[in-house]
Amino acid sequence: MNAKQLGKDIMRHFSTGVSYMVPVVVAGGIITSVATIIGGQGVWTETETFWGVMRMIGQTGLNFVVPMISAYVAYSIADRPGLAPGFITGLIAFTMGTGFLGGMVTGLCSGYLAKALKGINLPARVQSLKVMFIIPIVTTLCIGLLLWYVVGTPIAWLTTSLDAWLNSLQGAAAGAMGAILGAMMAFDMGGPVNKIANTFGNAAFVEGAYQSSTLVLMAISIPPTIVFLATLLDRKKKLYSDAERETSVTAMIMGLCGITEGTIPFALGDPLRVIPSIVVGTSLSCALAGIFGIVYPVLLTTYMAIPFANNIPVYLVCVAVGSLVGALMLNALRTLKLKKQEAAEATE
Amino acid sequence: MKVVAVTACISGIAHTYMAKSGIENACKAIGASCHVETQGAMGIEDRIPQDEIDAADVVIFAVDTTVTERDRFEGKKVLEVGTSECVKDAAGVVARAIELVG
Repeated sequence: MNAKQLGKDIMRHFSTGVSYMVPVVVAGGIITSVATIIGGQGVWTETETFWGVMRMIGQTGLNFVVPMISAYVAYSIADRPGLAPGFITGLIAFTMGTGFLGGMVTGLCSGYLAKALKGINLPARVQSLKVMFIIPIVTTLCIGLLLWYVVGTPIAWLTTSLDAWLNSLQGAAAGAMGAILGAMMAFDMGGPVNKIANTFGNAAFVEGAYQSSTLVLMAISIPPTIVFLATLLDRKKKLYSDAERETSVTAMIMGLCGITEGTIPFALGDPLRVIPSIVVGTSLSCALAGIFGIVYPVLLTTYMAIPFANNIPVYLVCVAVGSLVGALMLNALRTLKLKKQEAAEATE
Repeated sequence: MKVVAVTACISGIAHTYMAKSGIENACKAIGASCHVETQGAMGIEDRIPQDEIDAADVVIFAVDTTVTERDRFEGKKVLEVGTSECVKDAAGVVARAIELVG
């Protein structure tokens, strides 16, 4: 197997892990967010009140994120034998404070070791012994020891430094971060590039690096807003077909619920003009939010998070400016296209 | 020509199903029969029965993740692509799959 194929396989295993992890982040993140917002910061240390209990439920979910990703990366590689070692080593990674990064490493190691052990040919009478005892015990013990004595501490250090660095970003640096994350989120509207940025945002949220999670989360509903706004601004109804108008409304409704994918049908009709426009607009919104230090400590998307932003008017301006620029850019590109078509028709 | 396919994307809510309808339409257009199984956020839906897999000429995996229960497809000719390729150009993907079996 060559390096390129291996890289592709690893990406696919990470993607599988993330796909199983998403509901855990959503359940844990949103329940925790609501509990801390309504119940106040006191809920973090008690379970005497309702909001305290709710925080406990959500936080239990968040504590499960790292073991979950570890287990399902391993599962993707080795199938069922990967699950047990993946969960156990993932939980150790979590308690060691290695975060997401640690979970991915333990998942990969457990998965590949379990897979290798699966491939060993033993005499038929001990074959069942292999599945029952050898694979789970050997894999869990080897990767557990490797994590504790060798790779765990450096990864934990790396995670802590990364979190500290992310939280220290200000002004232009935070703006640059926002520009990149926003562009990635808009680029394929829910596809693999979007999911890389999204996973980063989820990881940052779980680690408490709220500025980075904000820059990712706020991007989610901006592409649908841009296409919806573009069709609205086209007052003379010359630039867009009726079908496009309809899909832009659907996109906007899905966008309000925090789903970027609704924009895809619209974008597929004219990707060369739509994608650059939404990338520029979303990137601009997130860059502005980074520069002005917009932060919300909740796992909610663009519009649902408005009440929780640290500076609501500035946040709204950031979202509006990017959306408007994106929409105007799209309409300008479409006007050029229309003129080109008219010119072509005139010469025929 | 009998085509069976599995689609699966990371969040399992949009690309999975768009790839499915893309493949179904592309197969319909060329008169091929097809059965598309989705492995989205809801788990496996429209599961392909084993006898249909055995009878299929070619298998398409339009996936960004690992195919669940992949061993069902052991020994089949498989074309593996990402979901976004199927969303953009399903006809091209189906054509490539058919080329694979000649």
